[in-house]
Amino acid sequence: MDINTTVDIAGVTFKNPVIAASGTFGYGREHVDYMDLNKIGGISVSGLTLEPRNGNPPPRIVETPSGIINSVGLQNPGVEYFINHQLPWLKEYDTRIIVNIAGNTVEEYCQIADRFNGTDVDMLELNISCPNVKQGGIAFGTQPVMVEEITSAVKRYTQYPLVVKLSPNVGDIVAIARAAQAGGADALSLINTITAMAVDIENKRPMLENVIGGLSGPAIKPIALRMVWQVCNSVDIPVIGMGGIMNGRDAVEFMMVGARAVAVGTANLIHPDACVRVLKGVEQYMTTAGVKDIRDIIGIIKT
Amino acid sequence: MMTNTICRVEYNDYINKNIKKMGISGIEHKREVLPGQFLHIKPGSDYHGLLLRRPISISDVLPSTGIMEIIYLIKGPGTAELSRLKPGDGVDVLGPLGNGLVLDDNVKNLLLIGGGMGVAPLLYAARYYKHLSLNGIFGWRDTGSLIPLGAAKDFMDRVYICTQDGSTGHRGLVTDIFCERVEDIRPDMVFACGPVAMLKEVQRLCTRFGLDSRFSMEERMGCGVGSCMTCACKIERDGNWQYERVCCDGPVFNGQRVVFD
Repeated sequence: MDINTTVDIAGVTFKNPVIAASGTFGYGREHVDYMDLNKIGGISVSGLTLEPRNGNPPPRIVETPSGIINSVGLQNPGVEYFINHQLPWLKEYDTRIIVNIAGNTVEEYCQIADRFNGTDVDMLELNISCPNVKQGGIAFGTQPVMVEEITSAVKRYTQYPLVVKLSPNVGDIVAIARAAQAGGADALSLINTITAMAVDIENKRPMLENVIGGLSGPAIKPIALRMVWQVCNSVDIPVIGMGGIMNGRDAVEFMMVGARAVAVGTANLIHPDACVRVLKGVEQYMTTAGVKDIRDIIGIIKT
Repeated sequence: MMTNTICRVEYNDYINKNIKKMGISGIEHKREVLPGQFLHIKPGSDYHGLLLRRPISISDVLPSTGIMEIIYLIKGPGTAELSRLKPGDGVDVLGPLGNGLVLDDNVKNLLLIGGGMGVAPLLYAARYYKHLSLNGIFGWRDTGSLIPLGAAKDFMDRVYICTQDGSTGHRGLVTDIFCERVEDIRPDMVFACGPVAMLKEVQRLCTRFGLDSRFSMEERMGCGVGSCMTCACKIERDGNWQYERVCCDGPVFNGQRVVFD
């Protein structure tokens, strides 16, 4: 059976709905020994800041039941280094490049966005939901007023479709999603990690040096599905769903609650070719279930 | 294209109270395995609730069969799961990963210093560099936490063993023996692996004795291939420091460049 897996997000065509999630796939290079980058719909590169960042002191990762908590703190080589040393290499591949950006101030977000104009990337992803940095990050993503302000500010500076990545660490995810839409977001991606903590009782201290980190993996999938479902029912812009996707079935679940595409995150830490595995699973589901066009299952669940 | 492979457990036996040695066959590798490289092993399936792989250093590669050995302490649910594997069972292995110990030809006299579970990768270093003048100083808390040296013992000229409680070998620390013996051994390179407190002291002593060193570092790890940035280790570069990745920039670093806080 011929199947169609292409989806359109804000005018950008993805050959399939599987995207590597920011922060779990580096800049793609680390995975080429294990998979063909041309196979997946897109790559959201690890969060970039104006200047290089060292990130948080280790330990930065701990496993919890069906999940992991990380506190990397956006360690990255900075925008200039990425544009000069990583992007040219990445552009050789036939996959969509989503640039995930993070700043300490609204002005910094705008500056980074502006820097990418003319660099031939496909989309910008506004990271206003990183739980692991003291300034910026999540601080921008938890107040609807701020979300709308920063979205509309960055929107004025970029030539690319703007995806706003939402934090689940909020009282009302729908209010945040609507604020991003009101600010001019072209798409939304959710969820980022859930703030969390783990304790080492032998040494009587937190497992993470940063004390608090972000929980991801299958443990958060039901929460992510609920939030994606709520948001998809409340906004008109497309949604990229993520949160604990480990296989094709998980991806299909997110699409059935309304996500136009999905991002695979934590799974990349376990299998460097996880995105391809998820894609194969989606295709297998389509063949088995007789779904000719992936778009036919988006938001299909009956309630 | 590399992939993680389902390999076969050949044996998985206790070598001390909570320490097991596992022999694994069927691990594909294009290049020669270097001391310090590790296997990234998945305990159980994703839906057992255990997600991450466990990075465990290669403690030997058997020349006749190619079986790779790991020595691990049963500490948490992941290693407990590994300890339940039986000969003939499949095990999901990624690797060998990481940068191992590469020595210049001018290194003729290598001293291995290991503490606790850090002795494990040094056993393979002993086999790999058996053609050099080779000495070892190995220490543990007590006899109950000791790793038997096995075949590695025969590859070394002299071996010094110590425990903190004196229950096996000398009473004291590996760094005490290092101080006492450095004049007789006269190494031109030290390869060390062990607890941070030990490495910190080895580093101080290497500086004092004017010795070059390589440390095999450990850190909590995610992907093992360099993309998740979780296994950070502070490394000095050009008078400054930066976080480098234990999984792919290491685990073997120039010992004098590791920054201990």
